[in-house]
Parts: sequence; structure tokens; C-alpha cells
Amino acid sequence: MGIIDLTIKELNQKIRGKEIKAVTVAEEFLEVIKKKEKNIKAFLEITPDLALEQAKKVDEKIEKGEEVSEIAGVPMACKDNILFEGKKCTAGSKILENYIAKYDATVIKKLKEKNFVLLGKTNMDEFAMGSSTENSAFQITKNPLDLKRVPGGSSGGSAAAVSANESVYALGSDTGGSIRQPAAFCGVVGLKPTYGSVSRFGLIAYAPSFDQIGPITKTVEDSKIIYDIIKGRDDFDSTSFSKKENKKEKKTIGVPKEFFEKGIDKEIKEKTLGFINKLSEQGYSIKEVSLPNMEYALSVYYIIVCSEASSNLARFDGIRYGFSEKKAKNLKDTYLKTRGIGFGEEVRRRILLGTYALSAGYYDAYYLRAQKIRNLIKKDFEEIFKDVDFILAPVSPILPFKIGEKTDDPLSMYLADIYTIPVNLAGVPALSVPFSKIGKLSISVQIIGNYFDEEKLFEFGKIIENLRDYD
Amino acid sequence: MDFKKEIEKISVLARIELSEKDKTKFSKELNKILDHFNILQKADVKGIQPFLTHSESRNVFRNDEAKTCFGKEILKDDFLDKQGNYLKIKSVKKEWEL
Repeated sequence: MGIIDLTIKELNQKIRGKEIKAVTVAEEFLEVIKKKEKNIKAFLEITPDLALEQAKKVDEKIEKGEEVSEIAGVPMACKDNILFEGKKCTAGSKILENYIAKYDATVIKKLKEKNFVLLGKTNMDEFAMGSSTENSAFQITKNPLDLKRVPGGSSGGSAAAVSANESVYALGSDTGGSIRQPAAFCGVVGLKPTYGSVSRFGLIAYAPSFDQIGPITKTVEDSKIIYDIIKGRDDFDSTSFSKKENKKEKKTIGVPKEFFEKGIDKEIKEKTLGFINKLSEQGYSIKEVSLPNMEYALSVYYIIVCSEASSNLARFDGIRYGFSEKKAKNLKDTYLKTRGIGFGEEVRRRILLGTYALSAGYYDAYYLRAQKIRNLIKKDFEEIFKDVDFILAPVSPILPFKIGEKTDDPLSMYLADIYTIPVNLAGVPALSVPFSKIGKLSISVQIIGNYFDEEKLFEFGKIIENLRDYD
Repeated sequence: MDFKKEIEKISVLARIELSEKDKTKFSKELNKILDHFNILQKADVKGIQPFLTHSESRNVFRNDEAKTCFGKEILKDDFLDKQGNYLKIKSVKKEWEL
């Protein structure tokens, strides 16, 4: 097993133990990226100078006998909607093609304090709107497990980079499944933390009442290492908060029946139910639970998310920064043309949908009604967690689809998110962990926990890793 | 109302210029998506409050102490057009009517 196969913990131990220099590690990963990128296309920008400089600092500290952190010298990749001062941050959009970040996101600030090493910024669906990373304005990322297929999205670049061993771990963001689904498609671990547990300061907003930053890693243990560093209340994000973890001893797993009823791939269903059986043999008590409002979740999610996006993305106006269409006649024309040209198709579609849902005459029927049903869905989760410790469910109803397969039918692309979005509507945390394979493709389950139950998710996630049916 | 006309109106509100081809494409697609959304009409929401926030209500104000902030120079760097310390934009006269 080479350096590139190691986990954060293993690699960090080797660096701290002076078995290998951080600079050598960075060089090795940069070499792998150089070789693999022409096929995978996970990165929008590679930052070799920065990576080597950061790695050198780690080596110097170790040389001087100074204590270094649990992630020092371990190379990572960062989704391109998270700001790193002085580096481009495009959110996968033409409208921000040449935008240079003016400050660090809070998560980046925290990682910098730990001497992290950044290999580059990763590809994504434009403004995180998508489930396949095909909506990037710049390139199409391939699934490392099968190059003809999508890596999932919107954090497809981050998941592909970790899966292809181009990076040890990565940061992504999850609005409706954008960490868990690409992690599942690429056979790696992805965490969507409790809403508010990780600061969103410096994350380019898509839908602020849903967005959360989280880690994509090779193992559950690594996921915990990164989560523990990036979590916590931040003065710059008034929706962030710290809370003590809930502790309960019993082990009851809820299986929501609505996830297995229709639209699920037959093999995914069989394998997932088989795995639940295996857990039952291990002494877990399995209980059928119900999310009675599940049938509304997809519509509720898209109405609210598009409404939030239509308001949020008003800031991209071609005036203060980013792309601007020079041929405009007057101010209004500058807005119309800049946004007409600068935003890609899916972004325009969602802004139009959101504007429609918020416009006079439709507000009550769409936006307000959706927000009421969102509360019902949140209550459904609260009800379930009175009786069970975790909810176990598939991450995606389908296997990674072929590149181009769903681009002509936006509704069928939206339906691919059906199992991940209820979690974001309620704001609870969920961890996506691979447990089996179908051919060369990987399948995962998501463990959904109660608010701030991340610690329990990691514990249980490790058990799932140990029970999976491949090496 | 003709849905394409509706899309035209919405696109001006959203400040997004659309080509004729896009108008046709989007009106077809959005019609289908909105049809799907109609499922919400059958939910019983009598007496249910709309969702507002994930966090408990609490005071988020900090003490009124001066803190360093971005300098204007750093923000000015990105202005697409400027005059001294001012952001310069194109004329706004007679253009706000829809």
C-alpha cells in the first residue's frame, strides 16, 4: 500500500513520526493529480506552490521539535464554493470565473490553524445546483469507479478526488444531498452535519436554511477528525451554534418504510434490506418507522430552495465583482444581460422557479404551503427519534447514472435527490457510508441521527464499515 | 394565461434575459415541474405554522465594540468601473418600468 492509499490518521502518524516528509507527501499527490486529472477532471484549480509551501512549514515545525496537529501535512481538496483568501473561487460559474476570494471561510481559517495542506479547488455543479456535477460551467468530472458515469453532485469533484486517491480528504457542501450522494456514488464516506453545527461564513450561499459544509473522507474515523476541527459556533454566522452531544445507550434502528416503496433500484433495495438483517443479527433492534409526509418532501424542498436561491443570487449583478456584460445599454440592461449570459441553464431555471414561487398570486400556494409542510416533516423526524437512535436508509434510489443520461430531463434529475433531501428539510445530521458493491460500483447507506448526534453517527458508522461485504 | 408570457414576466422580475428558444424550453420544463409540485395541494396544513428557523430564538447581537473590517481598497479592487472611491454604474434614468 502506497502513501496515497493511507487515511488521514495513518499519513499524519507517518509525518509526525518523521517516517516521511510532508513535502514528499504533497509532491506525491501532485504527481498523482497530474497523471489522473486528464481522465477524472475533479479539480478546477490545482495549487502546487501553496501545497508545497504549507507542507514545508509542517516539516520545519517537526524539525524544530514542535507539536503539530492531527491533520498536519495531510493533503486535501476543497470544493470551489468555499473561500480561500487570494485564490480563485468560482462556485463552478462563469459569473465568478475570475473572482479572487478576499478572505478565508471560517472552516479554512480553522484548518489553517492546524497546518493543513491544500492541493486545489474542486469541480461542482454551478452554485451547487445539481446531482451529477454536469452543471459546472467548466468541465465534466468522471466517476473514478466507472469513467462513463457521473460522480454525483454537487460536490462531485471533491468525492471523485478522494475516491481516485488524488486527495486524502476533501470539503464539500450539502444542501439536499450534495455531500452524501457523491460520496455514495464514488464509494467514500460523506457527512452532512447538523444544521448550524459548522459555520457557513465564507461558503457561497445557495439556500441558507439548508447549506452545510462537511467532510468527504475514506473512513468514518477520518470524517470525525475533520468534523471535530471545523465544527462550533462562529460570530460570523448567527445560525451556527455549539451544543453538547446527546447521549443514549440503547441501540434501536428505525427503517423508514417509504424509502423502500417505489422508485428504488431492485438491487439497491435487496442489498440494503440484507444489510439491515445483518445488523439485526448483530443485536440491533430494528423498527419500522414512517415519514408520512415523505411524498411532499421533493416538492417542498425544490420550492423553498429555489426561492432562497432566487433571493440569494440577486447579489450577482455585474456591478461590484465578477463577470459583467459590457454591451449593456443601461443599468437594467446590465443586470439582464450579465445574469442571462453569466448564469448557466440550471441556475437560470432555479432562479425562475423561485421567483415564480415567491411572486404575487402564487406565494400562498407554493412558498407558504411548502414552509408549513416543512414543519410537518421536521416534526415527523422528531417523533421518530423519540423511539429510535438512528434511521437507516439508502442514500440514492439509483446507481450512478451515465454522463448525459439525465441532463435533458430536469425533473428526473431532481428525483435522484429524493432520499437525501428530507434530512436537509429537518436539519438533522446524516453520514453516508459505503457497505457493498454492485459490479464495480459502490452502494452506501445513510445513518440519520437526531440533532447534534454526530458522535453517535461516527460510532455506528465504524460498525457499518466493519460489516461491509468487501475489502 | 399563456405560460410562455408568464415566464417572460418572471424573467424580467428575476433580471435574467432569455432568448426565444430558452423561453420556449423553460416554459415547457417549468410547467412540468410545477405540475409535480401540485401534490402539495392535497396536504392538510390547517393550523400548521410555517417553518422559520432551525435555531432557538436567541439574541445574536454582540457588544458594541469596534472591530476591524475589510478596507475599502480591497473591495474597490473588484469594481468593474469606478471613479475615485465611487462605484460607477450605467445610467438608471427611465428604465425601471417593467
